[in-house]
Amino acid sequence: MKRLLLPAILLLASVQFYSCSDSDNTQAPNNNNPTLQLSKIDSGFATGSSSIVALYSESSLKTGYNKIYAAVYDSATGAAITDAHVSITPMMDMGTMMHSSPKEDPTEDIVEGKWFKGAVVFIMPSNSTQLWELHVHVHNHTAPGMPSGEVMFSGLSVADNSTKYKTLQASDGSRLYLSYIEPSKPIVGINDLEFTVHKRTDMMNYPPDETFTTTIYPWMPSMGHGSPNNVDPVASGQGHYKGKVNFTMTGDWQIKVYLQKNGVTDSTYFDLIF
Amino acid sequence: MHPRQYARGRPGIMNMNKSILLAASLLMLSSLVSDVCGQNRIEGLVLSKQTGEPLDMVNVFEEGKEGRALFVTSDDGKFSIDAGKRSSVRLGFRRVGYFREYEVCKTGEGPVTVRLSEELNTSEEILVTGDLRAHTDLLNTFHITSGLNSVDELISRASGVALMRRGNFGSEPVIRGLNSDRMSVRLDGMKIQPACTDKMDPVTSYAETGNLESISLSKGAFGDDGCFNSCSGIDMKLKDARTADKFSATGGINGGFLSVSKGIRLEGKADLKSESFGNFTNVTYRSNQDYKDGRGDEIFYSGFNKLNISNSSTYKTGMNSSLKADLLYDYAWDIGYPALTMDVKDAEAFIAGLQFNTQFNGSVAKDLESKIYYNKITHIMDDSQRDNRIKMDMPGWTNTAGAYVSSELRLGSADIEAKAEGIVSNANAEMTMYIPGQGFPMYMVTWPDVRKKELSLSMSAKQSIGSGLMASVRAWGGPVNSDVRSEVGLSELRIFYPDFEGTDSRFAGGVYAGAEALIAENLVTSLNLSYSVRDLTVSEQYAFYIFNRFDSYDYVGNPYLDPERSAQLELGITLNTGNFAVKTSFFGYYIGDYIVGVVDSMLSPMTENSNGVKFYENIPGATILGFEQTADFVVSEKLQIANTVQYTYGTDNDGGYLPQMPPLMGTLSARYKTGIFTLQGEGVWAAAQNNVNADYGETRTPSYAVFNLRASADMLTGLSVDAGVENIFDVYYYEHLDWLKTPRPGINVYLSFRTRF
Repeated sequence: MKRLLLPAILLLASVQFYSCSDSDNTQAPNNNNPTLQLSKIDSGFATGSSSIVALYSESSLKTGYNKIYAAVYDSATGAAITDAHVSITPMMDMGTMMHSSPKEDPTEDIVEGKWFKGAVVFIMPSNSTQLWELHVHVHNHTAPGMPSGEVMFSGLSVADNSTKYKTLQASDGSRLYLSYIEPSKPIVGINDLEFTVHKRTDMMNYPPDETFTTTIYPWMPSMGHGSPNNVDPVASGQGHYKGKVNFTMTGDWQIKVYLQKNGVTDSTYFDLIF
Repeated sequence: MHPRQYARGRPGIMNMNKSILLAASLLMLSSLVSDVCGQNRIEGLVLSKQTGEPLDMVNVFEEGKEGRALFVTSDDGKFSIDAGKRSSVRLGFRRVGYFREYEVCKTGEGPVTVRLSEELNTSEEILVTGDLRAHTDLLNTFHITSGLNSVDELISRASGVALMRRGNFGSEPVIRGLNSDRMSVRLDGMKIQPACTDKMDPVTSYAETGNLESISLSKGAFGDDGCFNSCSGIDMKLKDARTADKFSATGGINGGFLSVSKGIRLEGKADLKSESFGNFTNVTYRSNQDYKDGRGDEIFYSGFNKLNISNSSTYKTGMNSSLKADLLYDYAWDIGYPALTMDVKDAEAFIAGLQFNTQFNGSVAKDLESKIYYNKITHIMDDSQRDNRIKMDMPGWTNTAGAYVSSELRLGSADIEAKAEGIVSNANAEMTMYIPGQGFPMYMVTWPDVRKKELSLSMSAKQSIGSGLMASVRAWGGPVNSDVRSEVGLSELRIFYPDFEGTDSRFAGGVYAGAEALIAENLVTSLNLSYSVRDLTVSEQYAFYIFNRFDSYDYVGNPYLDPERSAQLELGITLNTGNFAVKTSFFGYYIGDYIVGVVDSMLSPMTENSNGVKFYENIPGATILGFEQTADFVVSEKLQIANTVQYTYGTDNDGGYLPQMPPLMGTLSARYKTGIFTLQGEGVWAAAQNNVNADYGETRTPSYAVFNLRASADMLTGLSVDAGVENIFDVYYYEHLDWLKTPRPGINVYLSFRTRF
């Protein structure tokens, strides 16, 4: 027990430290435990599950990777429910056809007391007539009889974010979706790099694809130079590729991404300015 | 203006104590003791010119009979000789470690006081504004300049020195092939950290000849004081305000014009002296436009403007103590650097020092000097005048605070000098790039706000052994801690050194031993040995993509560098027959873990058109060999000739040539003086340099010879006029150390005046 106590205290201390410094220091190291600053998407009854779902995101929805947070409350008492199973299905109705998009269902790990954390990769922006829907399915393990049900949040606007989200027709014919996640707050120096790769198997299924060997090449288009000592991302689960990217100065950077498989290379790039 | 030439003029007078035995002024003071002794005796006192103390073991001899000492002084420095039936005798005074003096001494005129000037066998001193008289110091007068020179040009006239030029301003002195990385340059003992990552502002660029008394050079880690933690050193001594028994207020205005750059120099000074208080103020303004080379082509971006204001105050706090305050403000603007892609918009230095001196009458401690100082430099480099696609603003800031206490002691017959010093300095530089008309400024830190804390203890001892041998030893050293304080800068460095914590501790210091011996009549030899470990420069440890225009590489520092370890040997031989003096020094330096830039071919450069990226790395070692010789010859009362020659040969451990080594070079000067007029002709030459380092982007440099003619006249009391033509034949030339082979000025006509009131 004592063995665990010290790391736990240190962890808490570090969380405290980061949360303090984060607000006034944009150069703070990347951290995975920010105090959540969420904006609400919508809330509603998940009919049949005796629960209300409130859905949040870290920023307004945009194409590419969006972290989605769901809070589930008992519809009678209003108490937060943490013992449940939550899944999210994005849906786009284009009139002539419907399609979904890549997503990550929340795991059972509850974030900061009540949040079910998942993600959605929106593969196209909305427009005035074609808006996104998010279907949230709740399997309420807390209520008697463990009821389940679904709530639909519709009319969701998704902005275009083409610098951080790329689609790619791969050489083998498959359609790939690359979404930039980190660095969300780039610094001059070493940054954790993270992006996801999903592919389309049909209009409803977009599984992660971890079959690529990747190479990155940061590039400053205005200056015409790269940066040294980057670490090529490797697959680390759920289609996430993690590596290191180094920026030698602020300014406009491109991160060129090369995906290799079976001797064939496809490439795209992300843009960022800081 | 050519750095190797010996110019003739008024305000600048240089003394090379080391090179000559004729040197040193001789002062006759009347009637120290009113008592007149026997009619046929000559009595007097021999003092050290530097310390004012009586000198023992001085051989007093009659001129022409040097082998037979008439008297050898003891501790009180007094001498007394029998003049026989003559009414006057020309006496010589000789002591190891001091320059020989001659004096005509008359009987019946009371005791004479003779002051011998210390021959600093390890350092060389240039008197800048001292009042040496021409006949007492021959070689010195060949250095007298047109009065329009900068401090670096003055230093370049000393033997063993060459200038690395990037423009017509702020040239970097190189001593025996050692550049500013391996040298310490100080102002009146105060450390100043230049603020330019591209070495546009050597410490010498923040001083002016008008406020300097002297400049001392240590051409190795042999120096008494000048070298600090480096291999070599320069200390520029500020001109002090003095007190006087009688109140006086004097001043002067000097001015001059030089044609090659349509340059002007104006200087005003005021000197107040009273019994307890003295004040000296100097204001110097220099402005030069672009100069023309020997082909008549304008060298674009070579003009500059500079204003220097300095004030020195001395207050006598007691019979044997005084307080001195120095304030110096230097501001230069619109400085062009033709050999670089950048210019300087502003360079500003604020320098302050407060010094307290006490003399003791005790038998052990002789004096105590303590000083605190602070200086701050702001250096704004930019390329707004250049046609670069990507514009860069590269400001740099440094500040330095230091304090030291030093004391001279006498233990038995040994002179001991001890010094303790502490320094804290900060160096910070950054770069912001932008493409005009486009967004996103690009920002990076190039010097990551490095705070250095240095502590140093130094102890030296000097002892005469018999009358023919003088031995000295010195040891110095202390810790140097550096701390990277910029978070962005540290984050940048971690790209290459992920485990670097941002702090570094190391030791810098060394030991020196030297001896000087009179081995035969008129022949003195000296041997100096030293071993030193120098501190690393901010760039060597922490540079981040600093572009070097010479080899066109971006340089990145290395926090884990080993320090350079330098073993040095110097052998000197001086022959002096009175009218002919020749001094030769041979030197050999081995520098272990020599630091150079090594290409990392895996990396892409940051700067446009750069060839790649180099890291500062240690190579096993480098060797520098060479010699200097100075000779002067008094042909007659009116005609005097001086010659200097120097050579440096540097190789690395693989036998490759070291970059930026001066070739064989020298000067030959002749002067004719009659009445109030002086005419001087000079030839300045350098052999071709074929020993080049291609990795550093070097190519061969051809030989050259240029000639100068100078004239001066002491018109009236308080007015003198100098005029001359430099590079008479309008030769197109450059020296090997000049960056990008930027030609030096072509024919230049100058005229200057100096008034006193």
